[in-house]
Amino acid sequence: MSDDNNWESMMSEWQSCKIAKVDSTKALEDIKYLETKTRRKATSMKFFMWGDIIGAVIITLVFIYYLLFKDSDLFAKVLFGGSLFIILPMSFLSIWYRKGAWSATGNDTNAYLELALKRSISAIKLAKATALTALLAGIFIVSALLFKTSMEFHELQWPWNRFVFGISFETLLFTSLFLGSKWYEKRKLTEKMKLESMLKDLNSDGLN
Amino acid sequence: MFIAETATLSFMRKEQTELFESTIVTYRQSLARIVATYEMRPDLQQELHQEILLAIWKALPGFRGESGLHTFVYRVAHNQAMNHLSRDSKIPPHESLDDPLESTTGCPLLLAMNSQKMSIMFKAMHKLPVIQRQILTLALEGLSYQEIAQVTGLNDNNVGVRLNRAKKALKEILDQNRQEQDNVR
Repeated sequence: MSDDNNWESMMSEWQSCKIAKVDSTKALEDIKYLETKTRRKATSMKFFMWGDIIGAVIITLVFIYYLLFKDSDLFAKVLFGGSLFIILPMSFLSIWYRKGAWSATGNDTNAYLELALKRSISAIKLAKATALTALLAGIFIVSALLFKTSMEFHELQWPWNRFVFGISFETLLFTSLFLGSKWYEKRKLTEKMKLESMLKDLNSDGLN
Repeated sequence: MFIAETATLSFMRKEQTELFESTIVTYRQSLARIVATYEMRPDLQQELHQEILLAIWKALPGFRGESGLHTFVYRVAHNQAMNHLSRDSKIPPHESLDDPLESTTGCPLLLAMNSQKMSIMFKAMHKLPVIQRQILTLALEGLSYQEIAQVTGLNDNNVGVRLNRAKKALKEILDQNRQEQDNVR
């Protein structure tokens, strides 16, 4: 390969290697379809972000209502106050992360990899925060429901009642959220390691 | 005001479409070679090809002509390919250089590679580290050191050093393969 002629011949062979069978019209159709799909995805992401905000606002209002006008209902105050304690930082984190949506493929590889690495690190932080939130919120809400169940134990119609449903539903919900976040975190950790390795390779002197 | 903005947007959209179409016509073979260099599995090749086209479509409005269009297109394509590699958790199975190239027979976007030599070459490229693969591909596409530096963010001298090392590594893989073939015969 040190031979220039050899390299020239390889280059010419490479450039004359025709393997694509797409035509531009088909490509444009594909792109319009993909763009619509991406826009839908972005809309659903926005929808979830606004869902977070609206959910947080509703719970805040309900909490204020119970705090000011329902003196007797201590259980509801604890439940909504606790949820708020978890939901507010979570909403902030989720908005902060989603605002970081980017399209930077026009950058040079070095800048692109650095940005991709930062994004992976943010995603890992969000996944960790989500897992922790799911764990704390799950324990808190299920404990609160168990406490309420124990208070009204004699009045309940076993085994089918709203507490059994509530406890099962919340346990399933928060376990899924916890496991999902852990899976996502693992995926992002692998991605981060690969990006770090590529970046390290790119930033080395090229002699190793 | 609103009508003027809509008209401007529609004009820009038309320009983007025209630029995209001409880009695809000009670079479709180069893009296909980039896809085949980074990904061997047919289903993922199609996915990567679409990701690259989408990234080009999205990035084109940001093209200000500071560098050549070809540099811009290669930059977007390679970055997208790296993104694809970093997201991919599956490790492709080890294959010998003599096995037929899976990608060119199964991917609906790529034709079967009729040259055995090129098939071996693509497989050998897959054995190189990603950055070496990137620099080698860009050089084979005919980019100058300066243009490769613009794509990668390295300096010209570093590109030269790395390209020589990549050529040497590729030669070693190809020689080893040739030797193995001779031994079999």
